[in-house]
Amino acid sequence: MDDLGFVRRFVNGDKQAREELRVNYSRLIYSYIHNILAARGYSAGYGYAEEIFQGIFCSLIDDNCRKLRSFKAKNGCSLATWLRQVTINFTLSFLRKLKPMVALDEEMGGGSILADHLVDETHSARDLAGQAERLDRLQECISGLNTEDKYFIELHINHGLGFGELKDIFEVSRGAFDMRKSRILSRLKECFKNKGFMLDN
Amino acid sequence: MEDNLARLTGELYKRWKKAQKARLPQAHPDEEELACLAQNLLNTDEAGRIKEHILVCDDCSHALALHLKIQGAAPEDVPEELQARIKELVSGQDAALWQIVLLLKEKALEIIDVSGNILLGQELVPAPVLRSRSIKEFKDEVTILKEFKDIRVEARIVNKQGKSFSLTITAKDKQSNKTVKDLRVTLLKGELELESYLVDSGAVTFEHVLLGKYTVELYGAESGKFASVLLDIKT
Repeated sequence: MDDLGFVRRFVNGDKQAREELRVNYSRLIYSYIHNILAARGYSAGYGYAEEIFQGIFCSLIDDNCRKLRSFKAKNGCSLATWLRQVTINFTLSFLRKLKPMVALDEEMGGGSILADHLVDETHSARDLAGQAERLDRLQECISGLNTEDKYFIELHINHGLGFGELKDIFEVSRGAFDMRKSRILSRLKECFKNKGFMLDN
Repeated sequence: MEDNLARLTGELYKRWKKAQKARLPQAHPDEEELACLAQNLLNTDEAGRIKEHILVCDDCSHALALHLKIQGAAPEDVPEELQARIKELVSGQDAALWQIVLLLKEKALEIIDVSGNILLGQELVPAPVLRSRSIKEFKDEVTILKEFKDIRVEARIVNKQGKSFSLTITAKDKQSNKTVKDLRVTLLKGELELESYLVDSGAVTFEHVLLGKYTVELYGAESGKFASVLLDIKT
């Protein structure tokens, strides 16, 4: 199916295209919503999926299909892939509006309350200042990495994505993936050492 | 050792990223650019520009990470009732749909399903937050607000001893807060038009409405039909 042609038919009011969007893509969108909610720690019991699902369809066709019209199929992007990103952005925006409220005097188990955990008295101000200074120096090693290496750290270490999720985006084999990680960490270790910091092992 | 090094790298990276906030460019990549980056469909220059953004923007990096995480996700069936709602929504109506389902009791009013923000005292609370706080019952009236493009619509439903209700619809410009001129609000039961008013005051009240399912259509002079409210009030 030509996705751009299909979208054009939809926004021009073609009834068959309107039905096709629902039939072909609603399960996909609904599945994405469920998986995003699960990834963010929301169980089905919250009942958000239905509201987000309806909200996404509304956003696609609101204002004379303004959102749907913004799909251009650039660089060979498929409608399904675009809808995945639309679903992600809409769901994250929805979740951001929820503003979870946690009481500071809520019991966290063991008789302690959240406020106790926020007031950490194990380090003095001088300790913390010294630690911050050390971290600032080590942080310069991150600055020294190139964009591609930082991008690898962003996805693999910061977001915890594994080889299975990243092999296509980095277009590498398992061996090359591990090698890349090892090379970045070695470079950082060397940089830390040059700044006078050693890891124990 | 690599685990410790990776953990330290993660901590330092987070710290470095936080320090980059001032560098955050104003424009975020659009959905198509992010989707293309995730699928390796961009040329080197375009990909490089967006990667630079990802490195300093938490929102976009989360969105990209989720894109990669949920590909190949397990399929979920859409409940039939939801399918029916979407069918109605995409079948040609360009106006946004707003569903309000309430249960009238003798001396209270319970929210079953609404979208939008609900007035709770002086606070506007999004419907999901209200649910998460397990607040469902209101004494004898509920006011719900929802935005449709540039127009903010307020629906105030007053319980009349569990037997009927009154509905007041108010529409204001989101930016200026001025009421919408030449507002037409039509109350329909099925295909049958029960009442329809054209007002300059931006507010219409329907009194003594019996319980049941209704559609309320809102039209502006410039925007045409901009919202349909599916109202289901039951006991």
